[in-house]
Amino acid sequence: MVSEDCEEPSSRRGVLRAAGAALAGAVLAGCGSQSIRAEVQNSRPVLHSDVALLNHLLHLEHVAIAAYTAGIPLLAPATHKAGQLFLNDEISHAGDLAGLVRAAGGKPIKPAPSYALGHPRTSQEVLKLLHDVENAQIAAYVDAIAVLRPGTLKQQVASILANDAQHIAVVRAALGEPAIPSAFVTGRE
Amino acid sequence: MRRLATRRELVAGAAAAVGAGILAGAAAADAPVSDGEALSKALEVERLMVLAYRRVLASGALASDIARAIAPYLTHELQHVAAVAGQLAAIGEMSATGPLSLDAAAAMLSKHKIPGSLTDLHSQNDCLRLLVDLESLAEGVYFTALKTLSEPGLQQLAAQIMACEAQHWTAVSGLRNPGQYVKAVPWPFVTGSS
Repeated sequence: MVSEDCEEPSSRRGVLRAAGAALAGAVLAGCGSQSIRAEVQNSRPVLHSDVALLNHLLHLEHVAIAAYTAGIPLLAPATHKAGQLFLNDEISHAGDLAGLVRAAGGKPIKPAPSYALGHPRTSQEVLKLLHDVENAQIAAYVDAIAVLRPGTLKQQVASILANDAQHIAVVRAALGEPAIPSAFVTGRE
Repeated sequence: MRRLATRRELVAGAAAAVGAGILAGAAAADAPVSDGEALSKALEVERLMVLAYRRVLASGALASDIARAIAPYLTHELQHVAAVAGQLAAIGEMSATGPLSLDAAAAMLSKHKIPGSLTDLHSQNDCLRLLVDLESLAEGVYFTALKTLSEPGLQQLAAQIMACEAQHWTAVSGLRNPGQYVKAVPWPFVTGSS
């Protein structure tokens, strides 16, 4: 994969890409490399009192996964690839949050058999659904950041929030709307 | 499917690297950082962003449609400056809010190992690449601040601005690489650069 990042040696993303290539094998083989989730857990405990909130965020990720999974076949070719990429991102977010719930001594909520996502029939209708789903996640993450402890957990949640903000910018552009309508991302734009 | 599998592998590695970065950062940052210090660093970066967008927009190197597309981001950066400076004022710390001087900006680029120059913008690619690097820096300053900011309102503000900078990153990167979503949103976790 060639990404924008590999052209940016100064960026953390660029460093991550290089490091990721080197570490991916070890991580996937479970050879002791630790995920961001594990590092957060090891630095300070994830509080048991945060289980319900983390499970709420996980629920919203399950909804997003369901929406992308159901909607991608209806997306126009120009946005189909973006949908696939964003689905993978949501799956990564869900895995991360499930780990945090476990670290807090909780049981990760499982995906429901189905979700009430309406009946989008066109690419535009799917994009509107995805816009609403992403916005719901963003709003929940912004709220959660004020509550979750410790600071490293806030960072982790913010890293997901920022990625969902990127998704919604692309979705808005595909809808023909201003991609970035506000200087402050709240999930209510 | 081969590309997706590769991306997944890289994501797994990236997550480990992010974690390692957080751990290393934790060791280096044992000294407490006040809200004022964290906000002052963010403000300095925002003032750099304002200068950078102004220089890029004035360079004459951008196609008119590209300039139109990114012009609103300068407005966003100005709003970020006002918001962060306002929070600093609220805790009794007055701060400069104008764009950085070119000398100070050059020193910051050097400090953060960002290639390029605000006085040497000859092509659209130079401009967009520099903005992408700077948006990474802006993401990173808020990501770092979130570890230590003590007030919930400040934490939310930092996250909201960080998310906006990530959107800028995606939009500018998308302008560099039209239609290549994997370059505009390459990772599921955004942490920026430091």
